[in-house]
Amino acid sequence: MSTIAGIDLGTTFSALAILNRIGKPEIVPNAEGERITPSAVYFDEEDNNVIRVGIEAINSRQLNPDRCVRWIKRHMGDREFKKVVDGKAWTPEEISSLILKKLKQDCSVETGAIEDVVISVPAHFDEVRRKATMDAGTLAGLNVIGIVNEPVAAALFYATTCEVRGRVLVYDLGGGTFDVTVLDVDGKDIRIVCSQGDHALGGIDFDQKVLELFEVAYREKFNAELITNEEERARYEDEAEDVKKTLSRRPVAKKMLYGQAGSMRLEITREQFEQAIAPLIARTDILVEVSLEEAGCTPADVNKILLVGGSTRIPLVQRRLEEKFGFAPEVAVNVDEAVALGAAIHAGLTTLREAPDKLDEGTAGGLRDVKLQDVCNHSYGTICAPRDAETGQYVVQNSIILRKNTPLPCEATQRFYTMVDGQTELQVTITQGEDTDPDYVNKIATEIFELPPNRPANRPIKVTYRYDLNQRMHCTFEDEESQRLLEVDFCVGDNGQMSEANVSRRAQELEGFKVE
Amino acid sequence: MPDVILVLVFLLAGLLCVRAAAGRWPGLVGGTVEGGRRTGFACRVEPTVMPTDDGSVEVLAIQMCGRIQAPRNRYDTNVQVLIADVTEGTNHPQPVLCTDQAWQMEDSPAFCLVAHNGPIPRRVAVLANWVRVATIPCGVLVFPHRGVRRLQFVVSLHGRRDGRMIASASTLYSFTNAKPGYLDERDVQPSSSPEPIEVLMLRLAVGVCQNDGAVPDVVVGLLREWIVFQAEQAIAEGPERDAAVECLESGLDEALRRAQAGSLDVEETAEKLAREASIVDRYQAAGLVLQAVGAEQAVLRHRTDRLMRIAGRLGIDREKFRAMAQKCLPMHTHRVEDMCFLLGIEAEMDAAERRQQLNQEYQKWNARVTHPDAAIRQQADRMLTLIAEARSRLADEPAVVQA
Repeated sequence: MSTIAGIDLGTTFSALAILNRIGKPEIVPNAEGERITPSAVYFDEEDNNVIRVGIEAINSRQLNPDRCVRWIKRHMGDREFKKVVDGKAWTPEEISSLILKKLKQDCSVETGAIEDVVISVPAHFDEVRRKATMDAGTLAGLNVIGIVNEPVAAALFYATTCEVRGRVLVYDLGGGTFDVTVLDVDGKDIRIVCSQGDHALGGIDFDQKVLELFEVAYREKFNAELITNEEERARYEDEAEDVKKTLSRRPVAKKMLYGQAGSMRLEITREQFEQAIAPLIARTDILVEVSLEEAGCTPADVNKILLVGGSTRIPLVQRRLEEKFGFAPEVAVNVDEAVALGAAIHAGLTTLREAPDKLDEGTAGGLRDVKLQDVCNHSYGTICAPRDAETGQYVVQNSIILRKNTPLPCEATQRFYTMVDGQTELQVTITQGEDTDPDYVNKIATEIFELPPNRPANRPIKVTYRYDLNQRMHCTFEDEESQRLLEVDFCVGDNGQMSEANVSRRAQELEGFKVE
Repeated sequence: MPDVILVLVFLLAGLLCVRAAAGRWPGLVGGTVEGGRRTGFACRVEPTVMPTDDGSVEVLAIQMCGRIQAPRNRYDTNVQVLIADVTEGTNHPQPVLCTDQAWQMEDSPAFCLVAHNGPIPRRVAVLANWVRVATIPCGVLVFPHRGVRRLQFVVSLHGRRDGRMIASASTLYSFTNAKPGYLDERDVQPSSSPEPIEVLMLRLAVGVCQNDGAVPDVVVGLLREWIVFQAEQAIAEGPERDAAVECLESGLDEALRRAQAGSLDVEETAEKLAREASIVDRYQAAGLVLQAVGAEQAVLRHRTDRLMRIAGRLGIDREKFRAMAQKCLPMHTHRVEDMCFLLGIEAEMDAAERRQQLNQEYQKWNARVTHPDAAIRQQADRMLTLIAEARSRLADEPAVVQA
């Protein structure tokens, strides 16, 4: 039987978990014996084919920051981002694949080869970023059978290990992203209600605020800049992270700052830190409120708050939640590992549904009672031209057909009409996004629909969108009079920057690089 | 111009030989009167509602019936519908204008519908039942004044080839016009022509952007480019386009002179636009103003105050205006002193309302941070940062947010 794994590919740390013989997830430590691996990559300057991943990359970074890449998850799906090292331009997918490769290698030493994996992503990741994540897995030689939202993964793990009933809010504040998910849990029956996320809010942003405190203090004392090159920046970023972590345990953190103008001793209090991160915490407050509103509930309706992600260790985070909800949030078994553990469960559930023969009886038995109802992560629509009630003119608009947070599988239909006499062609555009303004939505597919000739305007066109449990989208455009059909199918993973052929070719190229 | 239309309509009315029976309005069903005898051809107006894509629209259905005498069998005909506003008396008809060019007279915007009616099967034909010949959406008609208007509809049949009139009828109909009329609150100066709406738009933009009488060169440049663009869109190349450009350039120069002299009243210009321009034109005016303001990288507080007042005067939807402003003044390229304007925070909002407004803005911009366009992503990131800063200061402070 194959080994099924779940991977938390985090902004700052990654982890891999497998399902054991009784269907329970277990973290697999890396080659260094650590349960989580820093999501950092360092390109060795002496051997171009050697790439260090994890703690070695972190340790090497201060010597030559130009050869190190961190926080690559922030650039997933960004076709403009390239890291050029020794003349080769690395894409975010390729760099992420190196991290995944390390996890896969280290795991295979312990447990044997991994075949099928589920990789977690932030809930707010769009189709392009999800596809980029899948491609990263494929480039690493993994068979990616699914993508799971990080809060959902954490909720899965939590619900299957603790007795939970009621409405739960998962507060996932990690190294680089923040997600809030509201779900209803009844034993092992999990129903997602809604998700919201912030793509640029996490531990690294709190570190940046501490770094700014360093710089301001140094500037005030010496009227000079503390950081004058990239090596110093790398060093003080690590120092800032250290201060942040200290302030979670102690009320004061002390640091020596060594700059070109001189050295100084700096004390930062927890209050100063909390004041510096107040705007970031305000963003988390907004997202929690928006999530509750979307879920149609108030803080009083929430029975449990589950904290996930290392940044939830900050006392201010826990205090604010307690103030808002009236009770203390619950810290998961291990905030850094819950997502990977839940992703492994999700991998098991996917395999049980799609290829049950791949699971042994023990593993399948451990999963059989688990029920997960997920929701549509984004709204999907089409571009149309309704008449504006105020001006009486036709205005181009995005019309949402399938709304975000609709339980899966889901289907929705709307009727549109042709605009002019003799219209023989219709440009149909499938969009993803919440806006009515077409400039602000992601146009993920555009097709031409041929129509019969010589007809007056106002012919009805029925548009149906279907989204299934395997994250496959099926769009049908039907000319009701002639019954002509245009069908567009795609999967999360079809619509991205890399074609299948391209992924295969790049995977072969990357095989030459050794990951350590 | 209005006097010319009046004369034209009166002449047409005369040609059609329409006379009301002395001391008596025929009511909804009318007929031509020749020498005191009813000829039997009649018309009527039925108000009704027509379904559309997004609801329904009020229309006037024009119908005819009765006896028609044609020169020969299968005589091909057109039907013509004219409307005159006779509220001030049939001896003082005023034109009813039409916003749809397909239903205008050749040389004026007065309403005139001409449609192919088809051949009359025999020399003498009788329509025993009412037959609909035209459907006119009420929204395309423009009347001289707001209020209850008495309209005279004249329906006639003409030879398609020779234009000969073979039947005609008129009827009176009372219509309640809710919109301002084209003569309402206007100082009619018989010798002057009304200013083009585009000139008013330019004047408004100059007025908003001027500072102590001076208008930045970059704004003037943008407005001149806009003039050329407008002319190119509307008129084919040639002397007519050149004349239009010259006219608008003069309008712009006049506005700049007035601004320098301190005599350009922005509020009055906005009110004039509100009276004379259609809602579409008013949005276009707002768009031009925002583009002009956005031509400069920094938007000072007094200018944003002015912008909101202008939006109010123009009578356009505030939320739509704010969305336009967010597009024209993207935060990653512009410095806007008064963020409350862009965030929709108003002085009279209490803390809960401000929180709600910021939450809505956050939700909107958070959905845009993963857009494929890098400029939109940058703008979204900047907006989220500003919203969070505003929110973190929300608790005890007044709604003041600095960019």
